[in-house]
Amino acid sequence: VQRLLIAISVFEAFIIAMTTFALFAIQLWRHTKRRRVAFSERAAYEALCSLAVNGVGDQTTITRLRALPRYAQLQVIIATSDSFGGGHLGRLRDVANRLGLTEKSEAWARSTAWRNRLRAARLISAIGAAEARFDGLLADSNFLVRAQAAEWRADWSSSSILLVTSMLDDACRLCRIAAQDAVLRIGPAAIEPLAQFLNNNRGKSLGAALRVAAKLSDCRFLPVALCYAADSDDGNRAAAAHVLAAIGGDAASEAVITLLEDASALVRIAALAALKKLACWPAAKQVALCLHDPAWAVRKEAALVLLSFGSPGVLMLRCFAQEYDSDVASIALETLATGVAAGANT
Amino acid sequence: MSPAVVHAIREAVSGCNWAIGVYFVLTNTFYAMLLTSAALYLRGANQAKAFSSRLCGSNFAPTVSILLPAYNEAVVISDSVHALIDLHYPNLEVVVVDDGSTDTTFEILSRTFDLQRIPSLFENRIQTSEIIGVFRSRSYPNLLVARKKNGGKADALNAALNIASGELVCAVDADTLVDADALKTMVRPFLMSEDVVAAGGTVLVANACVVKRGRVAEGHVSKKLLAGIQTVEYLRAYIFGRVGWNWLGGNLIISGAFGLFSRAALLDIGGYSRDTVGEDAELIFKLRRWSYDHGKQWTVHFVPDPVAWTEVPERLKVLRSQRDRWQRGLADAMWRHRRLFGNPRYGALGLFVIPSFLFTELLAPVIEASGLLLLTVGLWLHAVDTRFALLFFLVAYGYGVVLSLATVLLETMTYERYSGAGDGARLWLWALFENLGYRQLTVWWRLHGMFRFLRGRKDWKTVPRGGFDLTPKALTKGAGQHG
Repeated sequence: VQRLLIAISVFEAFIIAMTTFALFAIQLWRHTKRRRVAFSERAAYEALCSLAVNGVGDQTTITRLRALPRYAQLQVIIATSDSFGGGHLGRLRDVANRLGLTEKSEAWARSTAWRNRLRAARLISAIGAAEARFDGLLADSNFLVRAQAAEWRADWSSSSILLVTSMLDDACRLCRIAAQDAVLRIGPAAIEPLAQFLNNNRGKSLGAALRVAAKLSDCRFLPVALCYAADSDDGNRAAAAHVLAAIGGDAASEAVITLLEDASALVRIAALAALKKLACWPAAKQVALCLHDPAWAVRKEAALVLLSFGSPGVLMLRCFAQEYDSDVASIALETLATGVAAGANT
Repeated sequence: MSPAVVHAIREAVSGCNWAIGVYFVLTNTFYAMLLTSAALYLRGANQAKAFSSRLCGSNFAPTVSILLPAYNEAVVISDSVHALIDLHYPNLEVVVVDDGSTDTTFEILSRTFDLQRIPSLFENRIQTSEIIGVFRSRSYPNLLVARKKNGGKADALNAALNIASGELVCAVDADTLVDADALKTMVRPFLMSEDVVAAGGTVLVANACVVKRGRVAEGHVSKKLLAGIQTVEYLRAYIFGRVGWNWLGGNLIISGAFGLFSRAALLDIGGYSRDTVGEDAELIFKLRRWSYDHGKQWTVHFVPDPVAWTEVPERLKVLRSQRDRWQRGLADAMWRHRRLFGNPRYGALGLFVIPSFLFTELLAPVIEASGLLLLTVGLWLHAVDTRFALLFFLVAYGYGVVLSLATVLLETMTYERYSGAGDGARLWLWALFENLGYRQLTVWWRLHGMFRFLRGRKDWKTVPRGGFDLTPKALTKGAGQHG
């Protein structure tokens, strides 16, 4: 046993010596490398910023970037891509082409290793290069790659718009968020494909797509929002209420008022929030009836919506403050006491 | 004493020493497994860092409510709240609960943030002490302040849970320094899997760091013995102690200083337990148990990225009371959820995670102290050879140093948050010292904590801290000193 312990001690001493050596070697290597790369990196950033601002690159832009290791080239180009407006992104693409990065990223995009494809997606989406590979990355099997590709900054082709709208139904939430951001960035060009996507996928849970439709707030979503307001899925009906609130108009208001009698508390809350956004004070009576709702969150929302309606709402709250139901009366009183006072102060 | 009795004692001591030797081998093999698991996990996590964090800051990202319980925090409250409001996250709400402070905490909040009373309309899903009023800031509409009667930290957190409206909630301590991009990092696991209900992040020691505007600008390792050793200890606890668990059945501990949770899940389990000294440890036990009991697939994730910084005690007395409380908290959580132990109904949690925690965390000080005691008795009775004892001690010390140095190396290769001149050398030095005296001291304190738990003590001594210098003068100088 003692021999074994001696052997273990010697082995531990060896490991400690190796770890110590590795620790100090890494620090020394990083220190010298960092100083060298940091200097070249600064020069490369300056050259690229001059290209973004003046439109003409320094004679030595490429030379300065070539002085950097590949990972630093990628880092500098991706970091400065935000400074290039849509129209000027071509200049950055040209630099990446001349450095051979576009070619390399195409090779990465074909790789079987997802980490390489992710690296390709980062560069391709940041500068809008290698368009031929883009749709493939949007439909990638790895969710990180799909989400990264959706950050594409150049003009979107119609096939890519269709792909990104279909990602609004992705199983991974990260991809759904990436798609929502992308659709919002695409703007008007995405309205028709999104409405079509919503029409073609009835029966699925499409809260993410409806929420982005609400942000786009276009009247072309009215028919589809009215359909989803009668959907069997609670989440869809609640999201449809937000779309209707964003679109506005009599038809939307009527549909939202109908949702106040929905079986789901989630939908009733969404309907109340929608009425607040629509400033639909003629619905004050229906909203006031929600003060009797069995769900506490609905009662609270109703009180706050009434307060936001101004005089008609306050009138309703005063009536309900004298109710025999102590819960309802206390909500109404609390809202009146602090809410009206705060309104008067402001 | 008759020779027969002495012989019997010798035999018993020798047997116990062998049993402890077996425990030593098993525990250290388990630690090596954790370290390997952490190294493999960090390799993947480091490569996935290439993924842009922009998405996690999207307007469609889930709303996060930061819960900040405050009791007599007049000195730091304004800076803490400012630092939290300025976090880089789009959908953010900050809920401060003034837990019946007897100083000017509320007055400072009211004056600094221009508070206005709003209707106290929230569902009391978790019972708490009476809430006196809810206020919203006119200058920062996403800041809510609740004023309530004193009920303790867990009670204040429960009140904040009732008031918060975010999908996710993040519990922080008033003296925790949170990195600006911390929430973007922490929200990542929630976006990648719908089953994640809690995520913890690495909390590092900030005692010697340069603090600017409530954030750590430069990470440095303290030159002071206790703070320096705790720097290595924290690295080891987080980097391999918790990252390693991500692949071995999930984590059981998320630091109370910084953790992100699903609000719905916390409300389902009834929030924080008020009658315990380790409400953060107990919360994760409760979450995971509830998940099994109700057929859910909830998971608890640990994000290895350093996200928050905390000040550690530099005085032995204070450190002792902290460790004593941690041990009582863990013991209490284990005792409350003792049904999980070895219970196949709870899958990997009952059969592997809980037993491992019991033997390597909770009972470790008892076994280590017994080992030291028996070794001394054995030497006295000549049941143990002196040379063997010395060699055994050398092996144990060497193994501890190997683990600490491997963790320091992992940190240097991945995040390198302590990157100042001489920090690497200091970490190396403290890693050598950690197992000489300090570890034995913590064993004694933890043992004391166990004893106090068995006696039913649930008091929570306030840990006095030096505090970061966040005064305007220090801020303009750009350097926060500790002390």
